[in-house]
Amino acid sequence: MRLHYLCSRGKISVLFLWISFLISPILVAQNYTISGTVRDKETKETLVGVPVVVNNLESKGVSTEQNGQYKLTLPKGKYTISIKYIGFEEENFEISLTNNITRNIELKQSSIGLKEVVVAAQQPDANVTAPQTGVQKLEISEINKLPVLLGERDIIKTIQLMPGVQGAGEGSSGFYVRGGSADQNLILLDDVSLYNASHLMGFFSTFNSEVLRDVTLYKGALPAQYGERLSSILDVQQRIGDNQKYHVNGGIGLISSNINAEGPIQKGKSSFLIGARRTYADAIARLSGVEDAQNAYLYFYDLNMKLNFALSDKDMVSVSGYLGRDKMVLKEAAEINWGNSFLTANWSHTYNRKWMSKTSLAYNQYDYYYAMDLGMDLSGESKIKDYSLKHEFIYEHNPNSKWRFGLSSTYHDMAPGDFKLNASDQDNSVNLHHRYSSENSIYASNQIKVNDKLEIVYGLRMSAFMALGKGEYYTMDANHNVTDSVWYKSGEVVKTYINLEPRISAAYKLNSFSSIKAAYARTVQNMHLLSYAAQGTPIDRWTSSSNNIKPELADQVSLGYFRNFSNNMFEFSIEGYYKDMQNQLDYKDGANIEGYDVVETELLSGKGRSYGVELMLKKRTGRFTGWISYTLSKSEKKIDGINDDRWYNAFQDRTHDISLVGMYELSPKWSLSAAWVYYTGNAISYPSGKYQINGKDVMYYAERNGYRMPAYHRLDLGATCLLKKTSKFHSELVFGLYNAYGRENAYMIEFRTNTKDPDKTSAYQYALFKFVPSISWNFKF
Amino acid sequence: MKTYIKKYKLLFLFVTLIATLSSCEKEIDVDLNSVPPRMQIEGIVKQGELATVRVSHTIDFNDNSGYPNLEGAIVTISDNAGNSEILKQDETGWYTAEKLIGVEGRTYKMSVVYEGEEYTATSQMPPKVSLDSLYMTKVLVMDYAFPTFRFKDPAGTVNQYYLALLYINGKQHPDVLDLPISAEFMDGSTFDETYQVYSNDSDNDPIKKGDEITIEFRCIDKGVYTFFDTLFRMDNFLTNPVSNISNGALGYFSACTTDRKSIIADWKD
Repeated sequence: MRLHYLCSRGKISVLFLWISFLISPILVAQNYTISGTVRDKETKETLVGVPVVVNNLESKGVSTEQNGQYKLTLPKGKYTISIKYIGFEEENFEISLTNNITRNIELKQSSIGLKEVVVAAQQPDANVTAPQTGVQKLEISEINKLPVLLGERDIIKTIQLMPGVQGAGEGSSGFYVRGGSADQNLILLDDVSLYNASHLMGFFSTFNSEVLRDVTLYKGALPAQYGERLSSILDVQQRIGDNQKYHVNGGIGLISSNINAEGPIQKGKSSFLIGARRTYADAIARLSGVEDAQNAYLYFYDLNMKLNFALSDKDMVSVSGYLGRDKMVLKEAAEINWGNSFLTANWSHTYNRKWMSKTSLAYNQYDYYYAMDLGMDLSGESKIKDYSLKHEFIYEHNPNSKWRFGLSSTYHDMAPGDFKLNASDQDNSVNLHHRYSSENSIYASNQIKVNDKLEIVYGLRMSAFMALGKGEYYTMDANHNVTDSVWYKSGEVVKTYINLEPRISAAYKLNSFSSIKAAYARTVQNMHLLSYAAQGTPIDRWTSSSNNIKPELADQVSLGYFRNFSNNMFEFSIEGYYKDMQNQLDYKDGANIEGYDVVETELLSGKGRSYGVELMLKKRTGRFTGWISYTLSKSEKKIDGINDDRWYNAFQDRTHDISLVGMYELSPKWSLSAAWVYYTGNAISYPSGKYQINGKDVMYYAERNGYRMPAYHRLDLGATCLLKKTSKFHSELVFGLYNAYGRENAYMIEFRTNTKDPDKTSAYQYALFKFVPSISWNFKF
Repeated sequence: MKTYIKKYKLLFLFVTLIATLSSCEKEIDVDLNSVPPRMQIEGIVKQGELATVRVSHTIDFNDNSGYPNLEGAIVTISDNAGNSEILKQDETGWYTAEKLIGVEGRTYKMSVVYEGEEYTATSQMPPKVSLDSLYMTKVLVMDYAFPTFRFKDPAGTVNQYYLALLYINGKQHPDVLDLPISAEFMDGSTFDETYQVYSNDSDNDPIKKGDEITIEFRCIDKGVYTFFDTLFRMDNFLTNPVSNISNGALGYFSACTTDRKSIIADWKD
């Protein structure tokens, strides 16, 4: 097994060297650059993703970077530069390029545009031209037009409408990407990873869309600057506050409210953005006399913050933070709460036209706490603390070749559980050993335009994971019994895993409206989530690779065809993928992972594979916009000791997954939206028979995940009514209807003794949420 | 370990709470594959009582004709004091001893030979621990009270594992699982263990004022605890509980002590 890894890794690295050797010597003629920053004229906020196009040259253009900067390199000559950006007035100017010039551009807000609808991020033909495959970029404006879920706009729910991305279902957190499990997605908010991106068991996500700038999901070949997870990266960035004027916006709804404020700290130089959100459905239920709610509290809140300082033309520092907490309380009986929090500082520095660097430091924490007072007092808590440093250089060798080099290092301190049990005569406590580890990586990647047709992004990432002391580590025999344990001192290295992760993604333009893209990537994951239930819970236990748990590995290949129609009004894509996974974990029968230091004895590992085809047709512009996406896929595991050592369907295996999304601007006042989803039910174990223990029915399971939940489908409707719109004040009413035709989707199927007739056994289906209407009033001034 | 397991129940309670706001339950028909029956054995040697064994096999989920009692098995129970007996099947279908009774501290061995296959298990009877008291605990969010029983775990590792069975007016409730308890992390403590009783029948509270509540309290060994512990948690993982019987037979063989206490359910609303 081990030898096999080395061999395959070796081959890939050789291939890699060969490719970089082949494409690096590309000569560039006598060229000059025009560069600068694109800003909002009024707010001075830098604008990201603004297309800067050279009119004289067909399809020659760039989009502005994260800091609003653009750079065009052209042969000596005269050009007309044109900038068209939604929500702003068109800007055109002529230049005569005889040397390198800097030209900053300020765009004037158009009278018809509102700021939240202009956060576009792509060139109109990015679908065809961008070399990165398997990437979905979401515009916040697009999310704003979709039907609201329980009164909130939600980016996690929105990405689930994309091909290859599947929601984990109602009442469960997370999503699945290309057959991977929920813990194989790295969810980043301002480059900090969140261990649990859901509130209230997945009914809401941790992201307050009012403070976000954009969202990018990489589901295929990850660029080399990303790693640490097997399946996908969800990169969410918070907005930078307006450094010219103060604004407040908010929403008041039946279930939740939010309020956000932004403005200058020092006008023109620095800004703040803060956001707060709170749900109060429980309070409303209490007030309206719902009996079950009288002694129960159930809510979440979160706070977002971003401060931004332009220290000089070349230095930008930002500080962002997040604090979120969910609370569930049964008065005088029990309580659970959990949440993420982080603080990060980011410094970006521009050295010259070619070199730029970004440095960030972050502290990040996820923890949960629960307590019970029934007969005896019991409480337990668990905490993960991460300290991380990232440093990256971006080097533009020439306009056709851009390099990234970087390193990242994270120190994990995981406390899996500290329990207190207070009996009347004795206090007992159990403190499980902390697990310490260090996750490091270095990478280099190059985006290169080989010629007018071929563009390639390739890179190599080397990750080094070290399981560290202090702590007790175990030796197991073939039957997973602990035979020996060794105590490691603080900082002592227990085990190191070094992996090379080659990544390559290429786009070949067939013509100006169609392209073929292909990609290969290896990904490695060292943090593993052990779930108490198939759907996942907030109190699941994270564990790291150790002497007994090997890193998960995945090799993915994908191939796609992309075509735009009618002057980029329609986008079409078809993409196929195959993913081979190693060291996939699952539980042995009857596993118990809670309250013990040793979890390895309860786990089995084996291999996995997933493959599928994703289709998407999208209408991007016009009064009617929307998309259809369809995924046909398979995801399986084969682990010795489970399902008689045969292949079995992963829980998240879904054959068909369809999303239909439509948005229509009925009038300047009203806009309508609808979204319909359909997917094959999750693979699940149903009993193959039954027997009796102590006179009670017990189900007999003969195969793992051999059955399917009933198919899931649901229609959501939304309508937005613009009440008032002036340059000073804006307000709207948003109506939503979740599950419009009241489909009773199975949340759980239970096999048990019949409630009415104890001599019979029956299957019961539980469904959540038939028709959930919502109204909220949003304002901005 | 059981104390930690409450966490699942706790979470389940919250999910139920969310669900009651807008959920619906309905009985459905599911087409399940039929599989060959699997051997299932339940063997008990209680302190001071005659050994009994039930030999059965699994039946299809939709078969509601009753669980079979297999005939013609050779069931032998022996102990480490040199006693051994072949059990005879009585009119209830159980194989019952005529002489062999459970004694504290002894190790028992069960052998069941059926259709040429032998299934064996051993179990040691721990020293007896008695219940101190039984009382009702009312929780604000529930309409009825839960029974709480008190016992003191002796210090040292001899006694670690317990099993509580609940009888309401002499009958077990089909939705209430037998409660496994471990003193692994509470050695020597006095336990006030609350039996959380939930029913799937939303129209009828499982416990009403005036009901006779009985707790049967057993001291069990580790293998039996593992079986009942994994049985208790099997809804989370949908896998079979870990049996202490060899050759793939489902079920358990337990040598255990027993104690009982009863009260009439009453509480302040």
